[in-house]
Amino acid sequence: MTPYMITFFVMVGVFMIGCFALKWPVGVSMLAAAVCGALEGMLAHGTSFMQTLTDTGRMLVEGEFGYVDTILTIATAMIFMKVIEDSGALDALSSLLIEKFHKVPAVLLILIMFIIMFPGMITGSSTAAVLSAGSIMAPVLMLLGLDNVTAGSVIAMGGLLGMIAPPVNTAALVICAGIDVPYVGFTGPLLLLTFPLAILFVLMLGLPKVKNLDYEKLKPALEKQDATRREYGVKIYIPFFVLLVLMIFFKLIAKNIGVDDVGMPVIFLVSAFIGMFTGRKISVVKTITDAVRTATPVMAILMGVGMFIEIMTATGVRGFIVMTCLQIPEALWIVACCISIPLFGAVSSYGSCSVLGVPFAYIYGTYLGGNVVVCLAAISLIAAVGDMMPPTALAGLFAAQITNVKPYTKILKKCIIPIIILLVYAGFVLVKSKLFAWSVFG
Amino acid sequence: MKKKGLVSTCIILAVAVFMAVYAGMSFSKKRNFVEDVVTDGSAVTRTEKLSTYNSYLANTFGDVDIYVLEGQEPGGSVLILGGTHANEPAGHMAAIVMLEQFKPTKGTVYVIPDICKSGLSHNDPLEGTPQYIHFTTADGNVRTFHFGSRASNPIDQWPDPDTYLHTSGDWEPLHLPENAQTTQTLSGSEVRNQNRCYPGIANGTLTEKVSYAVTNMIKTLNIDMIIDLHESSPEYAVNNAIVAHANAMEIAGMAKALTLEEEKGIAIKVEPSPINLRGLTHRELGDYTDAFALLCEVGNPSQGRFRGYTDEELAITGKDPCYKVASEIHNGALLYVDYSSGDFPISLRVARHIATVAALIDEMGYEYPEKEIIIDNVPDYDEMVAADNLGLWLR
Amino acid sequence: MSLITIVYLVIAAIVFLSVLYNLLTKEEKVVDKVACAMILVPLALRLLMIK
Repeated sequence: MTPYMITFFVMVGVFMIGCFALKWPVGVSMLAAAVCGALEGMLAHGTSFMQTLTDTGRMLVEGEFGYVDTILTIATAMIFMKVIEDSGALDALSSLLIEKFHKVPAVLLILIMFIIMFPGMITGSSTAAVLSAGSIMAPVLMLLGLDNVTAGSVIAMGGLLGMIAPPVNTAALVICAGIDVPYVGFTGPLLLLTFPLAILFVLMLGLPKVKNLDYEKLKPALEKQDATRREYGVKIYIPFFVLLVLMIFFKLIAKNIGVDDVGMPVIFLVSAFIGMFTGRKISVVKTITDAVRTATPVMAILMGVGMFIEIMTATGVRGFIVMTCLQIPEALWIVACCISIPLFGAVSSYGSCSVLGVPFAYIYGTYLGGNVVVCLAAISLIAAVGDMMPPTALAGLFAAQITNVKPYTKILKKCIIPIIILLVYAGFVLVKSKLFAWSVFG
Repeated sequence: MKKKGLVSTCIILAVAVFMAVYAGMSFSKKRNFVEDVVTDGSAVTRTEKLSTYNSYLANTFGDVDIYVLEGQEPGGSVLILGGTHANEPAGHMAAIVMLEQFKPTKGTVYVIPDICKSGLSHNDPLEGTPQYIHFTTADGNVRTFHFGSRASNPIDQWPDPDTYLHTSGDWEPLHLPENAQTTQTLSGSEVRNQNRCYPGIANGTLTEKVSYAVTNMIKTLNIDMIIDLHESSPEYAVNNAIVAHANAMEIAGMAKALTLEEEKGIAIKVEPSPINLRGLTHRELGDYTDAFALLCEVGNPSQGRFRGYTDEELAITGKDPCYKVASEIHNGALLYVDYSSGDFPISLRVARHIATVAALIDEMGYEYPEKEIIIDNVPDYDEMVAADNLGLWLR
Repeated sequence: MSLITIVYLVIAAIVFLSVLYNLLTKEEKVVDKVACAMILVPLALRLLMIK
């Protein structure tokens, strides 16, 4: 496996040079790493130069298709976000929520956390949660007194937990597909794993900032928002209702009545389209192009990640990483699991589920005789942490974008303690899965 | 735009166009590549289109050929599916070898070597797999075959839903076990997995249409047995095995014990089809038709998660240093195949499939004489393994 | 081709044209233009239904 190790160091080395020394965007650094890894790995394997060039060219483009659907969701979510921002809908909602709930700040925080989680719960995507509900709740959190880093941290953790909370957990679905276990009975374990942490984290991060909230002192800062609310009335909230209704209908109801799911991109665009007529006048072309420009760095990251994984797999680096993790002594498997899965998730959390989640699911669910459903649920939560790991750190990156935090690593630092708590909890549940077998129902 | 900016923009766009055109030509070539299945000199009596059994499939990419090998004497019938998962080359190649070599004298053998033609027409992103595999025949010709994807091509059905609710469409179950659920929620990309779409929906997605046609074909022609050929990664528990619907367990068990293990020395497991894993051939075709529904798995390092350098050589030889390490650590508990030799060549994998299919057919004929199928010219397992050159069994 | 596929092709076209517009008129740094190009290539192939 030594040749694979060399290719691994070439890819990681080029990536780090590109990212940290040359200050290239992450996506472009990944492209460079993929190209160098392909050339070194294939030529070292004995492939001819022409064959190396032709294979590399094809594979770089092929890898991008791993995320072509995801970038459409991201782009349309950004368009929705820009519309509700420019139309004043965001301002109006912030003002309304604070007026109604300022007397019970802990309840308000928990409510906000569940709202942030909701899109993730029904789509299985932390990105969808952060970009839709997260972007809506960001100004509310900041008006409550949270600084932008804390607000971003709440949103990022909410996105993470939302993607794992039932009913839809794509990470678990990927692992289930990998070991042919039906996605049945997961609701209980997933609720147990996510909701207590959600309440803990939002109170941990946010309560110290809001518990002494003085609404009268806050009111002057809400003048602009209050004015927007008065000017446009109830109709300004219509895009939110449309988004909520469409998400509930297509994700929870439609399949039971034989209607096909239209997908988040359509839901975001329809809601955005309606938002163009319910508030301030906005320029359609400018809004769309500005939104896509904002989303471009993240979309490019995903394209780069796709190329990186494709070349990593083709040259054997992926196998090298998996085997290195699995060669660790049995006593350290839980540590290996809790470290390697999030680290690999830095490239792709779903990729991490497939590449490392499946072998560890075999180990804990079959080889060590644990409860398979609980094990898979716990591993999916561990994999979700990958969405916070640099360089991709999708949840963290988007949360930083919507709360105007630069660099986004500030949010990662703020989330270290919650992430450690999450990993310890998930690791405990994984190792002692039989203790939680009672939660499996359905 | 400044001049310097204009130059860099033009260069970058030119490179992007070049990459798009180059990759596009490669993808397009694969999409339109037609494997030459040689029927001259074979026992294929006729071919018909799969759309015969689902008119919605006509003029679509999924309308594949059914190769019919009819013996002179009437008897039982068997349908052999290859290429359900196009990244499992031994399933596809075993079906091709069988249709080119089998000579039934009694009964009828139906072979569809590329049941998921859409899957064969592309590769999975993020998997780094080769596009083709090649074999040299006995007379020196090089034959080229697809190495494809586990799922149908997105250009045939796009987008994927977030989750896929598998249902049985309009089919009425014939042998549904008690307490079995008939719907299942799967990951969205499974909507393009041929082996999660049975029994199929007539006017559903392309993959569902194909599944419907297969189910309808079995019911219309009263096919006695259906065998779906697959491979699985060496770390997957269901490996070197026959997965049998409850109605086929006895046939599978006897074929394993008497023919495969006792006569031929081929170690193989028999696994019962799980009642709540929906959409698979061994589940749905057993529940919704009267056929004996079976699925065969052999180990395939080229699709595993532990694999090293991925290329045509890995697909053909199964030689992989990562799997060698995996077979040695933790007392070999990570793998479900014997990888002590350090390889798992495709000739061995195809030989296992052919021997298993022959044993299952023989056993069906023994237990149900009215369903007997007699086939001559079945490639010999030991010969295939010893030769380690699959090309010798291709025309 | 189903209606939903057509809708998604329209969405892909909107994103493709927006990225192209930004590449031609807004992005100044070479690396940002490369990032745009990385997004354009797969979208173009998907719009042409080649991959």
